[in-house]
Order: sequence, then structure tokens, then C-alpha cells
Amino acid sequence: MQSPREVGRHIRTIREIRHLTRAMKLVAAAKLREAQARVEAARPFARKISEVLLDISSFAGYVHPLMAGRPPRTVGVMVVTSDRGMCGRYNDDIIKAALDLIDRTSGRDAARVIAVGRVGARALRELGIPILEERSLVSKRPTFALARAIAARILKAYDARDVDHVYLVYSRFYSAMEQRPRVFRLIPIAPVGGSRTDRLPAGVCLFEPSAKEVVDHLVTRYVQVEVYRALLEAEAGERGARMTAMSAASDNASEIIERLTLTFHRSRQAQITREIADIVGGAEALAAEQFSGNSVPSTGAESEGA
Amino acid sequence: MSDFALRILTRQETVLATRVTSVLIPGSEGDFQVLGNHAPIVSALRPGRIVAACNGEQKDVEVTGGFVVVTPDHVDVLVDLADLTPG
Repeated sequence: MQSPREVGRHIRTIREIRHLTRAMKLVAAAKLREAQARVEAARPFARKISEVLLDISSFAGYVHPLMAGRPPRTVGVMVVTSDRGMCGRYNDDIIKAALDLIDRTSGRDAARVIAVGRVGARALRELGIPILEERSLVSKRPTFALARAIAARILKAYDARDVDHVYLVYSRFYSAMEQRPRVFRLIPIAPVGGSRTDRLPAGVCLFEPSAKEVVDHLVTRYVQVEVYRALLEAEAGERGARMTAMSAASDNASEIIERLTLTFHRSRQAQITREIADIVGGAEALAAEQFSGNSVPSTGAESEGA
Repeated sequence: MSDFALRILTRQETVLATRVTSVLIPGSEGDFQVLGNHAPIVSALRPGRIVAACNGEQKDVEVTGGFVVVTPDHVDVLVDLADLTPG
């Protein structure tokens, strides 16, 4: 059994770790709130673009190449992971979802990955999947400028026929406890829109300057906005995952401390018992000596005193 | 005069969401005014000023390029940048 001193040192170490994980949990929680607010704030624009594209595509009399699509020889996949660990299964789930998608569609050789986040880039490169582009957030919040750059890269790859279909794989934020990977097909574009009252009616709608220009403009925006939304959602998801992971780590630390404290008391008691046993043993030995006479030489003063 | 919903949206945020009776839009082919029950139109915008009016109150919003979607009861302005002029 460890000595009480050793157990005590162990407990202090775990306490320090719990301090750290608790602090990281609080930081993640604060950043999560900000990230969530950004996701919410960006939603109306993204939704509107999607709705308008959906409405227009049915009657504009012009089909944008990105909407028409072409057979998928190669598949581009934008994979959004974090730059750092300490966030539980967050990255593993996304990488797994990306691999499932790749295996289901083009196969690994015909896949082209645009990796946002170091963890995903490293994992996919190790599996030998071609990486078209690698970006890192360096743990900063995602900006629209980054989204625009990535969107431009995707469109360039599409024009160069490097990719035929493009998917976004990122963590969809549901709650701090729940983030699930979302696989979204960006190209060919298939906008989604729920039921609503502000639908553009066919036939009477005007376009300025022209249907083609409006659709071209919308399509570019759509790609940028969907990439941006993926980055924002992923950020919120990552914060949530990190918060949950750190919360679990703190709980585990508390549990270990409890167990170690028990060990500490047991070992302390054992030590006391041992010491008492020694003392009692010693005392009994002394008493036995006196009754059995002078088997051991003793001083005269001691015998007289007793 | 019938009022309608006006929203001015950027990628990051909703700059303005209110009910108005009239709005002046800097369209790419020239300024135009939208009142309630306007015919549906989707137009590109040039950088300029959107003037929204409701019951004598007026709100100015400077916008960069983007586009506007007009349906009889909704006007949605989607722009890169929008700045609500105070006052």
C-alpha cells in the first residue's frame, strides 16, 4: 500500500488537473455562447438565398451549370475539424462521416479533400486521401473572408474539373451535449426551403438586369454562404464538444479524488494501527520483562520506581 | 397604404427587420420605389442608400452591392455590408 504521503501528493496533482479542466470548460462555455449567437445571426441570409434560388430555379428559364450538375468522376469534400484535441470524439466522428461518404461515392482515390482544421487534415492524409487544400483556423473564429477564399477554391476546382460533386462535412450543432456530423451536398446545388408565404410566383416575376445575371450572382453567394455556415456551425459544435469533454474530465477527476481520499484515510489508519501495535507490543514486552525477573539487565532505579 | 415586411440582411446579421409602407431601392438599373403589393421582382443592387419609410418615420441604410427580392408582402435585401444611419 502507498504511504499516506504519496497518496496525498497524488490527490493534489489530480486537484490541479481538475482546476485546469474546469477552467477549460468555462472558457469553452463562454465561447460556445458567442459561436451560437453567430450561427443564429447568419441564418436568415443563408435561408433566404436558398429559398430564392429554389423559387427561381423552377421558372427562370436558365439553369446554372452548378445546378445542372455533371456525373461524379471525382468528389470534393470539405472536412471541417478542429485544430486541437481535448474535445472528445468530435473530430473522430467527423472524420468517420467523411470516410463513409468518400467510400460510398467516389472511392478514396477519386476523392479530393479540402481540409479545414489540422486534426482532419492529418488523419485523412495518413490514409492516403488526396488533399486539395488545407486551411487552419488557428483556433480563431471563422471569418467570412475565409469562407469566401474556400468557396473560390471550390469553384476553381470545379471549373478545372478537379471535382464534379462537392460535399461539406461538418459538425451540426444541436446542443452542448449533442453535435452530430452533417453531410451536405453543395454541388450540384439543390437548395432547400420549407413552406412559407413569401414564395416568388412563377410567370410574373421580373429580373433585373437579367435572369442569368441574378442566378449567377445568387449561386456564387450561395456557395460562399453555405461554406460560411458550415464553418460557423462547426465552431459552435467544437466548443460544445470541448465543453462536454472538459465537464466529463472534471467529473472523472472528482471521482478519482474521492477514491484516493478513501485510500488516503485507509493508509493513514493502517499506519496508526501499525504504530499502536508497535507501541503496545513494546509495552507488553517491557511488562513481560518485569514479571519474569531479570532476564534482561535493568537499572536499579527503574525497578525501584515500579 | 398597406404596409409590408422589410428585412435588410447581411451574412453576419440582420441589420433591419421592420414593417414599412414604402422603400426606395438603389437597383442596378436605376432607383425604384416599392410600395405594398408590388409586383415580384428580383434585382441586383448598386451601392447606395435604401430609404425605408413608415408612418412619417424614415430610416436610411447605406448598402454595398447585393440584391433585393420583392414579393407582394415581403422585401428582402441581401447585401455584403449594410450600415444603418442613425437618426
